[in-house]
Amino acid sequence: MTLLGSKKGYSKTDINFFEEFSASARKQTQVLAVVVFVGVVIIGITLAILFYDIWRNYDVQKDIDGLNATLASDEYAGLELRSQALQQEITDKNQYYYTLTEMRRLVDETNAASTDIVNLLGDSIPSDAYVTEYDLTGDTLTVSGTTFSYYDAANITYLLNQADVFAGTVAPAVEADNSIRDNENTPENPIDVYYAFSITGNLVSDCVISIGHYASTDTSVIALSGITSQVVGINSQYEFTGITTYEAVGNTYSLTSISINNVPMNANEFAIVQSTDTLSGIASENISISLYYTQVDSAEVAEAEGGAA
Amino acid sequence: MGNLGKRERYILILLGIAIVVLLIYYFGIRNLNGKYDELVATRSQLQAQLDYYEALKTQNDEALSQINQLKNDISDVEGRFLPYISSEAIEQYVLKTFEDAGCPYLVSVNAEDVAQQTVTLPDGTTASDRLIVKRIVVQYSTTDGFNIAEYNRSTSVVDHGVVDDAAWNAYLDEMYWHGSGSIVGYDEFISALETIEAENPDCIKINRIAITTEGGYTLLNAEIDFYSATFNYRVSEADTGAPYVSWAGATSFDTAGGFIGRPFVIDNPASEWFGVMMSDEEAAEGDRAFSTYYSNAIFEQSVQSIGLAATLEIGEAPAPEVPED
Repeated sequence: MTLLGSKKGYSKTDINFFEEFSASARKQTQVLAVVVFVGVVIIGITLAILFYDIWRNYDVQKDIDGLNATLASDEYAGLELRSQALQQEITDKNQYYYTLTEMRRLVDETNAASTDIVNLLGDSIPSDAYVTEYDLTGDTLTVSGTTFSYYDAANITYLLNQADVFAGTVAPAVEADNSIRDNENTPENPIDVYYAFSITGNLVSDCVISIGHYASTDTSVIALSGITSQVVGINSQYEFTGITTYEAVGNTYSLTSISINNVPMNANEFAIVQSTDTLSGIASENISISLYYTQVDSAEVAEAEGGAA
Repeated sequence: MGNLGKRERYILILLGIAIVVLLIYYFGIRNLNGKYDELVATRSQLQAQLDYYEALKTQNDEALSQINQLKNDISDVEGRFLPYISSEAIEQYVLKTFEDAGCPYLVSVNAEDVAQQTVTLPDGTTASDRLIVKRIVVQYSTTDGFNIAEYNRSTSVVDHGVVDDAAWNAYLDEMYWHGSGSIVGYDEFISALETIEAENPDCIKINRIAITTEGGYTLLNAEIDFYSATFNYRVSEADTGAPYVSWAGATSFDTAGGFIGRPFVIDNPASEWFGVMMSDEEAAEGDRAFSTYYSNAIFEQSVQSIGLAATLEIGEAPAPEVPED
């Protein structure tokens, strides 16, 4: 190693050494700077990630606080209770509506005595007869009177039936009245033979077709709606379509069975109804139709709709 | 540090950086990430709850809509019944309708409750509401074309116990056969029934019409049903305007002369029955538990022998003479 001394004493080797030393020191400084820089960058990135995470958590926490505040607000706080109350109200109202419509059906099925028939009877009495009594209800008519002709009970029945008054069996009856002839106080019969007649028959009336939709649950049967009634003429055809599914309270129900006047429909007839989606028949009397459904899973409905699309 | 070589120094620096980064990660980022996961899970849970509530809100809106629809449906059905039964209003309406139609000769009227079957709900329970049917049973009479017709004192000849002789004789002059065309009541009876059956066919139905011929006149019978229900959970506003729902008869009455219990003779001038004396047969009826045996026996014997007026020693109201023709 060369001792330091006069510059003159520096050899070229020494100068090279210094240059190398200086270069090495610069390099070392550069490397150090790079290392420090990289370190600062890494720490900076790490800190940035840290701050980002802090900010991110703060942001999520802010969302949570907002959601908690929203959920605690009056708008949402009592929502489930409100929902339960509304569902109960729907159940109660549905039940009340069913009761009302059922009562309406009872009233609609009650036939009224019509003054039209009374007026028709007044215009249907032959001139050789008079009516002494009649009794009219919504279902039957009984007429009694006196006539000189034993045809008149049939004649009056014919005239009434020209206006389709009677349905089914009607019973005109005639009997000779000899009360005057046999009366000892009337030695000479001042009038001809006459007859007492009576007519009794069931009246033609409209038919009420009522239809109710029910759902079978695990525990009982509930009404999905009120009873719908419609009045049709006797022996008229009635028809209901679109009955295999039913929508109520946002749910879809599928038809499982039918009963008509409390008599269950047999499997073959039910299969026809399901395939045609139509229930029809002839109204010869008041008819009460009960359609029983079960709720269809909403996923199945969506799948079916998707498949159909 | 000065004794350290360059490599060692670099390693130390890198190690320091690594430690710092590790510490930042371990105590900061890792925990924050864990916390973040928890927070996100919490947020998701809360968001799911909010979504559920939003769905519930939609469902509640639909439920409200359905309730409103049900209320409308219920209101429609409720409106097809009488809001309630007021028997006196119904009877007043029926009598007035027959009188207005020209059929005022009432024989009898009464109101009956018609038993109705209860409504059985689909679950087998019985509905709390029930149908109410009030039946008004009336019997009217036609005139016979001879006798003087009267209702509600419309042809009365007695005013506060005093007979109006002129009116009496005028009415008696009308007592002759006017011909069968003068008989009134049947067409008017049917006309009244037509009015009633057209009034509100949903809740007023004629149950029966019947006639019976009597001695020159005809008895006219009708049964009219009025339908209402209990409406325990009524939704709609009750329409009470109809005359068969709310009282449409007189509301002001003279009650000065009304009395309870009939004496032998009504001597209160405020009463429309003023001057009316009990018949001898009516007066002799009864055991008179309040009286002594002998006084009762004397009274009955006196009434049966000399009449009530003489027994009471009061003047009898002069009976109008019946014209000879």
